[in-house]
Amino acid sequence: MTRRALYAAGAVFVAIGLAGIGRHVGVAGWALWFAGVAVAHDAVFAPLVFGVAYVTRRMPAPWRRAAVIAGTVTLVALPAVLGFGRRRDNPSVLPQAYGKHLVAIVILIGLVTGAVAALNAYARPMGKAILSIVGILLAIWLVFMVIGMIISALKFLIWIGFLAVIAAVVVTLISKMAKSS
Amino acid sequence: MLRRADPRRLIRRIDAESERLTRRIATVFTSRLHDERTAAWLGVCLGVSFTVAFVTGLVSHFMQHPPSWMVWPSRPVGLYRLTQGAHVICGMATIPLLLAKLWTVYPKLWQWPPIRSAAHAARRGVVFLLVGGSLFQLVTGLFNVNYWYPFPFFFTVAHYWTAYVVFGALLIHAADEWAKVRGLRRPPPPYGPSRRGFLATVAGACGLVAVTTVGETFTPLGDLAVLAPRRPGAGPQRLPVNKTALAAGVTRGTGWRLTVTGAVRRELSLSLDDLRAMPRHVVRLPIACVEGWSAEATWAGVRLRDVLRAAGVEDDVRVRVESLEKAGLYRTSQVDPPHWHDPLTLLALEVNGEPLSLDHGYPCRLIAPDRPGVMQTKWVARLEVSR
Repeated sequence: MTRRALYAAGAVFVAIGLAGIGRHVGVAGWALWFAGVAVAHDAVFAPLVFGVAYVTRRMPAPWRRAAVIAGTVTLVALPAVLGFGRRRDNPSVLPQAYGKHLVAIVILIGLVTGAVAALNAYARPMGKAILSIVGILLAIWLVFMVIGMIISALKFLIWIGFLAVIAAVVVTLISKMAKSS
Repeated sequence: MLRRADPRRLIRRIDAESERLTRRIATVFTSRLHDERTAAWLGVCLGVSFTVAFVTGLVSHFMQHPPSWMVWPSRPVGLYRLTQGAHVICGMATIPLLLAKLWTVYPKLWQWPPIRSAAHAARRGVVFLLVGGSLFQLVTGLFNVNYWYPFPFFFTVAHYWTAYVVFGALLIHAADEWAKVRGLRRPPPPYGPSRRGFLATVAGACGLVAVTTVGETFTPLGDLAVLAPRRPGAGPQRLPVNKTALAAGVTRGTGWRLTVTGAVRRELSLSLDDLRAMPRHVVRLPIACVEGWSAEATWAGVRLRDVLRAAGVEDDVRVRVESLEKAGLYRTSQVDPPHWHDPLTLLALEVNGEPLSLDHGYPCRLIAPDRPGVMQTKWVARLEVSR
């Protein structure tokens, strides 16, 4: 029952869409792009991905995952990197150095993956040495952070105490003046 | 002497060869991730994402082209900013998700026989509409937010009508595959060590796209928007511009006047000094563009309702705001009662403490809450009031 209703609703939507395209969009150009992107994916992009996956089949899993993330983010960023949409009269369109930013992101993905791989290698002596160095650096940084926070908290408390003393003095003075008058 | 080939034998031969080849191709896909569960998980996520895109897209369309019976509220102020930001950022973040789904189900493209029955043929037809349509929407949408138009059709119209095709095909596909989605609640089979890793990878890619672009509309994350086509503070007077005065063919002339005409008790023709003499109001409102970016600014000027009241109008009139721009789809915009009654709706003369620059609509532009940026008409010259 639900299924039939969904079929019917879906068919109505498809019919509305196709009718609208027929009436308001140049059908030939639209159909070329509609089928074109599907064919480009199935006949060019997907085989390319499977080819790359085959060539890199011995790559460790973390690095393959990193490659998938870097690859898809690159695809999404590509129109901005190519910058065909830039206009001479409007510098607020595509205002950034997208190529540089993309390279920085890919490097960042590499660094994070390296750290994860190091973590996986924790059991091995070399990885252990690297991780203990990183750990010591982190610990030092953390200690300084905590000391700084304690000092700023103390400063804050001292200020509050100072203000409390002033308030107490003012209140006492006022009450004394009130009594004496 | 050449022997004539028997066409029937030839066809049989081609048939056998293509079957052999297709079966051979199907054996290439050895990964465990081409399974139903992975496909169903990705499918559920895509279903949610495309539904969000469809609904927010309809909101944007009908805000710009309301049927005569439809009236949009002017509050909450940032509603359009939210729906259109969700539309564009979700859309971009869906690209890795769609590619992952198509990768997972790719072996099904090579199933043999290609068509088993009429119902099977219809099903594959719907899948073609879904795959072609999804790719079409995401590719043209991505090009559009990057201001790149290599296609032979007008983007918004094609994107709008194709959305119905995709959503309809999505409903049919969901009805067909619902049994597999229900299977997700069952415990997973004991094999398949990397499915979780694969799904996490896809989520990571989608998340990274979202994090590096969402700052173009969600200002607190503005510094992270390193891949976004816009930056909220990048532009004249710290505000991005969509159509420059040069592109609109508007120049800084003298003798500008604002005329108020139509269903009014007295027609007005106001100079810039007349407007400056009226009560000045300062509001903080975002420009929220159809391309997904948005940026808040401090605007100063006169309330639209003050100008209309000065001309003497009924409470239920509609106003057509006309630009100095000679041509262009967005040279006029319609302001309905909820928007012109709103005290935040201004005919702005200043932005961020300075007189409007020519690119931001000097001498006078419309700025109203909860409204697409293309309807915040610049270089306003005429208000035509109608019943």
